[in-house]
Amino acid sequence: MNSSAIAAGPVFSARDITRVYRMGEVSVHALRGVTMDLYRGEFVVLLGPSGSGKSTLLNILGGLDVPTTGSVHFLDQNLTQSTDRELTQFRRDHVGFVFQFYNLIPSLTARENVALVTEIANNPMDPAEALALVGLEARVDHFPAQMSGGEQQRVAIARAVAKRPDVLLCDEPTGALDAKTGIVVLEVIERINRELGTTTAVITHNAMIAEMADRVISLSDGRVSEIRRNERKRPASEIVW
Amino acid sequence: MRAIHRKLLRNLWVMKGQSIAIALVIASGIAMSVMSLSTLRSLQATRETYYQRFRFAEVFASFKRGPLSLQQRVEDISGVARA
Repeated sequence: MNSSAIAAGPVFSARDITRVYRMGEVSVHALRGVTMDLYRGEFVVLLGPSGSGKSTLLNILGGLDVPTTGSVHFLDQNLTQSTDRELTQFRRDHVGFVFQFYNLIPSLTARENVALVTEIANNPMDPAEALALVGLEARVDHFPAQMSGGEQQRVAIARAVAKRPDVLLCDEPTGALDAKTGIVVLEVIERINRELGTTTAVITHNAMIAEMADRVISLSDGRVSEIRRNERKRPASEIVW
Repeated sequence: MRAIHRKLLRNLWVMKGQSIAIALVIASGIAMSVMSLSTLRSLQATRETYYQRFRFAEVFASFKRGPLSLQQRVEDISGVARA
């Protein structure tokens, strides 16, 4: 990330957000006052143990959830005051999601899974182009059941980036994969960030993955415990765990 | 064809047994409904025809005595067949 991105202001701006889940008489505090920014084109890793609030934070940034208190802005749009319809439009226009368990449609081929998004997006890529970007040009007509976990996750990434989102949010994208396959997936995410300039946030509890980020935001018990900048980003191919 | 429609068709094909069964149940329901309505209308038409053919009055009015001069006025009322 360069200084001009910082000068241009944050893409996402979260201020003192909390999220409390109430289940009967029990209140679970998933976030306890998180303040953070995401800048255009940067690669951020949200690092923390299970239950630290990473996924809750990512869901709030992506417009899938709303904070109990605090404010979240995407550029000029206040996500905390947006209606469900506005949040749906925000997600459709600006956010690409990658989840741990792919969430592909089993009865559609890789190309059709990507087409599902490109058919309703403004200015999307061709599905074949998106699949080529993740190195799956030879598997466009294969069904999810005919592909490995790593390939399925790459299809999920192609589906997320095919609509040319401003932000790519990845929730434990390597969580269901072995190390070798996980690195292939991380290389694809790294390439998307570098070549398309998509602001990327990756959730992980794996500290090794944090080394490939511009910035690492560590969460602990619903709070930001540390924000650090990597002086040298390590390429995904050099990461081992 | 859009991807979502392909998904629909493939899912229907995978569960073709259930799809056909559901379609048959819906078709039977519609047929039953059409049949019942047809029967009802047919019976209503039969009743109307029978009443017309045998000149059944829809309304009867009687009184014991009245001046003859009223007879013409009663016959002039719309729908009165006989006075």
